[in-house]
Amino acid sequence: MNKNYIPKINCRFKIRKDIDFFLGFFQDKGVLTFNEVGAFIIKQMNGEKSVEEIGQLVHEAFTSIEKPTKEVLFVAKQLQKSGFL
Amino acid sequence: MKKRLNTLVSLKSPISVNFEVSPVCDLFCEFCFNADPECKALIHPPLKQVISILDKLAEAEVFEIRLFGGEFFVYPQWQRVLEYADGLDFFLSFVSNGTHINMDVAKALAAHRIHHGAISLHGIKEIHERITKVEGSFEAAVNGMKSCIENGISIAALYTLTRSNHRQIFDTCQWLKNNGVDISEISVGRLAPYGRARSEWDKVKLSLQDYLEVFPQLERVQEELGISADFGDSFPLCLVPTKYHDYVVGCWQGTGFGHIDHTGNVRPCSVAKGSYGNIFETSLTEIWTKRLRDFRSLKWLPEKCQRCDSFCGGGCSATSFSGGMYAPDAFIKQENGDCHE
Repeated sequence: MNKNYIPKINCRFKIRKDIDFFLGFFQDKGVLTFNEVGAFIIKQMNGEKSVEEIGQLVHEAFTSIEKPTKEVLFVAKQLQKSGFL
Repeated sequence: MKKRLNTLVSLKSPISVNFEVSPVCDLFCEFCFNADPECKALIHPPLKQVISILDKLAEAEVFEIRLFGGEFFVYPQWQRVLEYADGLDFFLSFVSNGTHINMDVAKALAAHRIHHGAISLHGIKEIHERITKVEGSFEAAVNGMKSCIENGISIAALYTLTRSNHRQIFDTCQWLKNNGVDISEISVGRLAPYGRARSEWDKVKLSLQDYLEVFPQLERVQEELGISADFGDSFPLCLVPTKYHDYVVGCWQGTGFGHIDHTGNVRPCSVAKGSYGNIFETSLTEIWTKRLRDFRSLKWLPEKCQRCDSFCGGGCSATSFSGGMYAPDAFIKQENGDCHE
């Protein structure tokens, strides 16, 4: 997996902002919790943007994130490992 | 250093709810927890009320709705409810006695993005119909299962344990397998002292030994028949051999799971009665965040449960005869006195 990879979550899912975190419900798979950046990244994984393009969006939305593409790649690898991509 | 106490997470609303669209049912199961008074004598709520409840659940951002009853498919406007709920983008599932599900119904369910459902089956024909008191209900339920499976909806068989069927789990699954009914899961549930089971509770209740005989059967079903088998309700893990712990799914009442009845009352469990409030008077988020604090504190559990490493929620609240809305499992009180010995 590299910055050109185009991630797409492989099931229907929804994410909501909860009390202390963001909560994602993934059909047939289960529930995951995220921070705000993680939730933002996952919402972009619709099979239309590359890791690098999502990284750019993260950079624009969360200016404090130093290496947004690396962050996206990390999230994508975790999701792939868990069978969500 | 004193060990940290277990607590339950607070969410703004349930992740998943059982929505009792209508209290009406056309079977007469001998143990039905919801059957007081007789289900058939109850009346269906108006569609407008059902729709309003769905709107309130969407407002609270509940993810999943399990269409529940009574019997969802005897509700005259069940298709309208299905369409409306799908339109609100809920993840949908259903819990049914299966007797009204044919190919057309199953196609409608699949068209509304339903991937899973649960159909009650309490044994092979003779046992099932003795329990439901309706002749033909076994074939109808099995046909309902087949229709769903043929339309790509995986089915879990819900098997409520009674004195007459608790040794027949393997035989029932084997019958299904031999007759081409490829259920994905069997989930056994505990008998609870509510509804019809309550009046003669001492005669009908299962002993701890009865329950312990269930686990080897679940293991056999899984290993020999390849059907996922589990104990769908919570059970005190301290009373179950460790090798069977993974068979206990547990319970997430009052945290990720809630029950909404047809009038809008909110409770954490589909079986145990009572209400934390009504969503037409108070928002679900307010009910869920504020009125369940005491429950989530777990201070109502014996201290050893609160400190237990294999935390099981104190077993199943609905099994306690005098437990109210939540209480330690009946076996925790009866067998251990002070829990998790």
